[in-house]
Amino acid sequence: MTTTVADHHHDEVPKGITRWLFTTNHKDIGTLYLWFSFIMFLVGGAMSLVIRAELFQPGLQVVDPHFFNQMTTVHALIMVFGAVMPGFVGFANWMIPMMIGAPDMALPRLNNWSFWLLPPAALLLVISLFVPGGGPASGWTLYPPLTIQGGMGMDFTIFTVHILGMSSILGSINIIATILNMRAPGMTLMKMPLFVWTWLITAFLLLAAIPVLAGAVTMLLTDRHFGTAFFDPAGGGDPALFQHIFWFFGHPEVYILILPAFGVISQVIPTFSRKPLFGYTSMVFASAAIAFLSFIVWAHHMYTVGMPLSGELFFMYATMLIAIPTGVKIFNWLATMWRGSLTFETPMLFAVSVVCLFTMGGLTGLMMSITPADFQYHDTYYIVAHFHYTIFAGSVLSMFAGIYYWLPKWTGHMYDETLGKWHFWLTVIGFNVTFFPQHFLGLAGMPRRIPDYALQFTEFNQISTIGSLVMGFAQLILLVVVVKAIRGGKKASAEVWENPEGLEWSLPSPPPYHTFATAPEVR
Amino acid sequence: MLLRQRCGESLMTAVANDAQKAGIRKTVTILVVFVVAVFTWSIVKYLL
Ligand code: HEM
Ligand SMILES: [Cu+2]
Repeated sequence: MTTTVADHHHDEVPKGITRWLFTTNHKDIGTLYLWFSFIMFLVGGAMSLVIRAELFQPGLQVVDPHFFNQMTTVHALIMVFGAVMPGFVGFANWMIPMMIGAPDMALPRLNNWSFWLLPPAALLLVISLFVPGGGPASGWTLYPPLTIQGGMGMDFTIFTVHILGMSSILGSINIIATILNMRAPGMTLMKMPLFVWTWLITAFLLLAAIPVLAGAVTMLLTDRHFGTAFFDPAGGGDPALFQHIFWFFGHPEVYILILPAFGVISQVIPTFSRKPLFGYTSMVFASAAIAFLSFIVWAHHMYTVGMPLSGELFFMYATMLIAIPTGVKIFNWLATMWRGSLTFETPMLFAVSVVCLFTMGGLTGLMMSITPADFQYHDTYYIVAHFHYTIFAGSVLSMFAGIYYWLPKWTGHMYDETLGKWHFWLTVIGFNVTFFPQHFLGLAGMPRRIPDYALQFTEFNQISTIGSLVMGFAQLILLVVVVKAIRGGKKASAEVWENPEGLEWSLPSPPPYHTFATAPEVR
Repeated sequence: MLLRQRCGESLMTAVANDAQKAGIRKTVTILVVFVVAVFTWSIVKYLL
């Protein structure tokens, strides 16, 4: 491979606020996405601490129940649509062009717009908490009839979902157009780094799933204001129909959150095992299989709604099938580490913890896929435990792995390894203390989304709240690490790590403003 | 403004050549049609 850097004439970096407002540079836009994601992560995190504070003791202490319900709803919406999705789009923007040897994204101006749709949408959602009647209080799933009845906060939420969806769709179109058309000569599809592959597949999932969500909330809107009755039983509609449509989007959505994470992990583990990724081809096909299956399992979220037996069985077996490609990935990561010369820098620590903890979430998922068993687990804290093991320990910890892995590349400085390790241990311990006891609460029958609970649930809830405080405040360490690395520190070499694979490491750290103006040759 | 950001006289464009440009156009057209179709169908299906 050759290293080609744009000549310095092209490398004047624009200054001031207009740089960020008008930027069409994939690195700038990636940075914007990542900061936006981090801010949303802190805002959503603060809301989760309100939830945990209220649940520290039985009875009502901190907030009133209606506000509590708004917190669970807006926390989830912000984390899913504001923190995790934009976070991975930030990684995509920074890394995909550098990984495939392209000078930028295929549609740089559209890229700018995709990002700048996000802040107003997020603001709209937060403002909804302050309008008469308050914000959405239905849970992030927005089930009618409650969402047909709510106040104008609900309209704000619908509009937010529309705008965020628009941003995701434009971003996905850009990513697909980039990957399919902008690869450097010699970079065949099966030579692409796995992170690029998982994003390509994720982008297709987004394009097929998001318009369905947009359709669902549009129908909610017309039910609310324009006299239709898609979901309103009073007019002959069916609330269960909404659940079907929502989960037709919702299950692919959870794989939208996890596939790019799998991609990051597949970059990090080989580097710190000093071995190539085991089973590259099977990783690509497993990702594609997961993507396909994710469209035929949606009703495992609504086993209790009353479906024909054949339906329950179909969705049960289809859901179980997903464990196969997921297992393939886990075994491939393990095989990559097997007999490697392992070292455990912060990115690797996070990556290994993802392999362990995400697998926990996958196993509880498998339990919940069993229809009769799920009648017990459904709508309890068991579900909350499951999806935090998948989304936090899967997606968010992978993002942390990715941040530590590429931060030296992005900033040109090594991060503070000691602080990184502190961040890792406090996060992972805090996480398990918070969410492991929730399995027991769920099995014992504590319902999710309630501000008060029966006395026998007290101890586990207290443990959980203490864990959440540790985990929450540990995230400020990440802020310190990132700011420190931006400001200075030990200079990072181009390769940063020991013989990492990928075109991004052939560029200096930090890479010049414009890279690969002349495409590199990939052999 | 946007154009100036993209670096002065010898415009540093992302696109290398016309073939690539045509490829991007084609990809985008197909995807946009797909998205609009999915959105429309997700609603129209319940009106029929
Ligand atoms: C091994 C694969 C997985 C299986 C078999 C599985 C299975 C399930 C099942 C059956 C439910 C519904 C439980 C109920 O409500 O009664 C569920 C809920 C959920 N899962 Fe998974 N899951 C898997 C992986 C994931 C992943 C990778 C994510 C996200 C990254 C995820 C996120 C969620 C979320 C957010 C919910 C709860 C949605 C809600 O009701 O608010 N799951 N899962
Ligand atoms: Cu699901």
